[in-house]
Amino acid sequence: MILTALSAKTAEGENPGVRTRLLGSHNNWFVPGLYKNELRRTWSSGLLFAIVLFFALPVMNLMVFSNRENSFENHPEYVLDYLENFFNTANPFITLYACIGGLFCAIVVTEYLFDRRKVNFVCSLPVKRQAYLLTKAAANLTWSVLAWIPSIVLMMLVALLTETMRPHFGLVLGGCFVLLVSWFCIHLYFFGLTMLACSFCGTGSMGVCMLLILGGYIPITLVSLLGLADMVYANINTSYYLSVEIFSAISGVFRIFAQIAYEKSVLFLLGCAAIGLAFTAAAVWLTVIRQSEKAGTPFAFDRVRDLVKYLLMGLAALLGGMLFEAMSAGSWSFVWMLFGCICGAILCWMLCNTIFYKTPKMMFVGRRGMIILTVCMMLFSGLSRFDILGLDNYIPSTVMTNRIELQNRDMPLTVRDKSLIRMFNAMAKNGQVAYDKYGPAASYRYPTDKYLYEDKLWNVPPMIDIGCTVWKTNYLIPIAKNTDILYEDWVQFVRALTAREDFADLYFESALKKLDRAERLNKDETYYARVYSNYSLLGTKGLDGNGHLTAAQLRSVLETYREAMRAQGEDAMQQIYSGTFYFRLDDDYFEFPLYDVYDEVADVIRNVFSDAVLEYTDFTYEKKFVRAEVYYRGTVIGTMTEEELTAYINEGIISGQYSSYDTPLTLVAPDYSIEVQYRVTETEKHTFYPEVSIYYDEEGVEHDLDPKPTSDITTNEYDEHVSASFFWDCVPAKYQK
Amino acid sequence: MNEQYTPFTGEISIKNVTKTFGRVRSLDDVTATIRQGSIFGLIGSNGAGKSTLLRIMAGIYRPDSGSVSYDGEDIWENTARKQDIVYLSDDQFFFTHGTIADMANYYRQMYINWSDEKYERLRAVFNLETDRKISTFSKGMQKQASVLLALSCCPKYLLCDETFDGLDPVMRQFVKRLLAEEVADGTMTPVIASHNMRELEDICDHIGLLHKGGILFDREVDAMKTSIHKVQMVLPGEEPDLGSFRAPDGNVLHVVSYKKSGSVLNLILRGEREEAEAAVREKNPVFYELIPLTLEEIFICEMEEKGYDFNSIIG
Repeated sequence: MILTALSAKTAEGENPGVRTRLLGSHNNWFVPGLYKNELRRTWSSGLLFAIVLFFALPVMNLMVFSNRENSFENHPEYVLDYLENFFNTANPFITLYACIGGLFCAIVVTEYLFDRRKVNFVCSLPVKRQAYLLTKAAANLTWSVLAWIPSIVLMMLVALLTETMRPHFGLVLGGCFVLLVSWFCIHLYFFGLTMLACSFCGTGSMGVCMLLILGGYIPITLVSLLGLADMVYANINTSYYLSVEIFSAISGVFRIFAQIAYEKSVLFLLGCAAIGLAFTAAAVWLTVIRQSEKAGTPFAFDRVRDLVKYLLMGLAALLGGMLFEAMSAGSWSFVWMLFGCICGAILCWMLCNTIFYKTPKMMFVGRRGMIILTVCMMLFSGLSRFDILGLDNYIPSTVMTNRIELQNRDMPLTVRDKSLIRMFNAMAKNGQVAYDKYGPAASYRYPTDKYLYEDKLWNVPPMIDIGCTVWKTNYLIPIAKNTDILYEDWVQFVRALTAREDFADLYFESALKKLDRAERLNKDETYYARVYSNYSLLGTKGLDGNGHLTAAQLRSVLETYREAMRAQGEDAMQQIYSGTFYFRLDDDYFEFPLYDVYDEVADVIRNVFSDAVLEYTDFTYEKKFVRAEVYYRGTVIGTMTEEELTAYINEGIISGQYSSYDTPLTLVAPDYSIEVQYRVTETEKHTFYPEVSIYYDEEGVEHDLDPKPTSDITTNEYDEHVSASFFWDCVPAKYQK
Repeated sequence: MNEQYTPFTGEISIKNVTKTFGRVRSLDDVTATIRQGSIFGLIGSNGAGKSTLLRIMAGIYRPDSGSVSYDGEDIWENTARKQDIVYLSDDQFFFTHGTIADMANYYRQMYINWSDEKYERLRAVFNLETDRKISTFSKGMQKQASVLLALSCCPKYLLCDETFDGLDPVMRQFVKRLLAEEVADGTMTPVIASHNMRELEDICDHIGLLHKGGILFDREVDAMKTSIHKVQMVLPGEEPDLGSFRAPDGNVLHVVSYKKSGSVLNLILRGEREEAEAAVREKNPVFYELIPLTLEEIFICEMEEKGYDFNSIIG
């Protein structure tokens, strides 16, 4: 019907037997005769599309309904749920099929541009170039749409024949057209994009490369620049989500695929179709202006060839520089960055020339341009690396800071008040807070702190280990840092933040809030709880236990801890600050350390684990000083007593395992070394309860049960060696050589 | 917009056409005029620019400068004028799995003057299977198929690029006859490009010589043949003065070339036959004979006069 309606009128011409047709059916944009011919010749494309749809639509649904027959019969609401999910713009198949179908269609339409014989033939015909291309495109798109008809008809049949689907026939019919329309809009997008890519090129392979460039060059370059910023700037910390936002904003392809499993709005679909048509129009224009003789050459336009080459070279130089920068360290890293830049640019240049000119003999064409571009990329690298433009601000301004989150184990604090943010940033300016992009590290040498040391020489925690995330107002770029902050300043800040002195209460309130939330989510659940002991030189005895607690039991444990910590006063704050005491609730897992107030907490443990704990381990760890020897160039030159060693550590003369204050800038006296030997005695008393041994009745009275627990003690002794060094210029006089 | 078709009756005018591919200048300021009703032969060695010129005339390539116009209308993207032109490439394109019937159907849709009657008639003559894939044809059969399809379009101008190459002698003569018949009917003007002058000699009535992108020579064959003659003669006595060959009206006839082997003189005289004969008889030769020159010999003479070594041009 459609085909015959397009047939031209005929009339007797000058010569008998010569059918002279009026040219009414030929115009600048469409050739009906060619359209008919193309339809006839490309029927196999339509068949291919129809086969894909046949399996994706009626066959698949028939299979689903036959597999879930019982389920659908018993739960009619599942049928509606399934159909609404399937016949929906969120069906991922639509996007995938549209993408592949669009690419395929466009390549079929434009493939003649890659063959000189075909181009010569086509261009010799009495038809406008744009008319030829558009007519071919129309024919191929017609088949891609017509291919839906058999599948839709079969789908209707399936709906009628399937008892559970029959009531939803209208939904299925409407849904098929929803799928068709949404598919077509996205199909047009990919079709147009591929047409545009192929119209720039004279070979199919280059057309595919051009498609990748058109679809991905800008987002890839932007993300690479973000990666560079992340690499060289301390204050810029790009996130995965920012990359996703950029991709979605810049790349239509990415945005479409990001929406693959989401419902698409009418505006979105119309936008895809409109952009696809715009791409197609641009492709037609390019086809008209391109030279026929360019068929078979990589690029149809010399300027496009050169532009693509330089764009790729720029990206290659950027990535090469980043690669070598990442692999190198120390003061030579910038030199390696420049080296990577040069290598990336040159290798890309050679490769592009070889491919674009189709011969290695042209590998070195365009030397001047290559040199200029390489120099520019090197300058750009230097600009970034040394932050010439001052983009990297170590201290974000108060205006730019959205909030600060302090994470100290289980006590997260969020600061939004601008005056407090200002206070925190002022502390940063004064050196009380030091941002370190790459993790907790003492960035400067620090003398012994009485809060941290006392006599706990072997248990020096990371001195300042507070996670701090500063959120910038614009772009919400989180600058996740671990900050160095002095203990007194931290206390001052927290007190200013919370306006409270009862720090232990503050800490527990935070833990209790967490427990409240967990209770709401897991109403009837119990928490797997684990207690572990805190080892120290003083040999704090501890208990290990494992079991399950209800929320009520957990709460009572926490309250007991709170009371114990209240009694500790400021020492409790110290315990929290240094991270030796914390609660953690992850999903259903709750763990808490043993507080140093052994007896009280031991009671708690027994109460808590009375009906679940199977075993206790009582563990002691003792470490006794044996000797310390000083070496000079491998030869023992003296010894140290324990008191001398302690004194040297406290004075900050000795580095190595005894000090966490070393920095990459810390120098040690290279000829001297210290070897300290300790004798370690580990005692483990393992108490095993084969069954529950005690229980508490409803009155809370404890009862003993048989069998009795059994215990065994194991002792392990071994020598431990610790190495250390004297800091530079700190070798005591008596050891100096 | 619909273009109105009107039959073309004028001449093809090629003016100052230049075409460059990269660094290679394929055509350099070519100018020529092809009148309707003649068979124009375009001759030149490999790489002379014959195919390029034909493609520009067919509207496939766009010249860098200059123009090709048909009856005053530029051919570039002129679909109305292209209705009268069929281009026969040296490597003609056919659909990958297409048959002659498929191609005929395609041409039928494109060319307004397509004649089914002519197609059927020629198909019977060429005796080609219309349902067999053209890709399975031999090279010669593919050439026949392309000629068949082209002639069935009833073009006013047929641009042939090395069309006779690949045809057997019988078929070659047949195709030449076909073309001649079309020309005789006044319905078609072929432009035939070849590197083989002998092939064009018996069919073309107008020859253009293309060399290094330029037209060196552009003349009617009859005019060439009747204006230059080869004479073999034996003269008693001394050799004659080369400037002494005079026509009856007293004009000195130009001796293009002169060679003596033994007592036989071979010379080429420029002038009408009667004038040449009269000039020779005036010398009272013992024996003389006017031998017709082949086209190739005429060209050699003409080119050598211009200072070219013809054999290096044609090869």
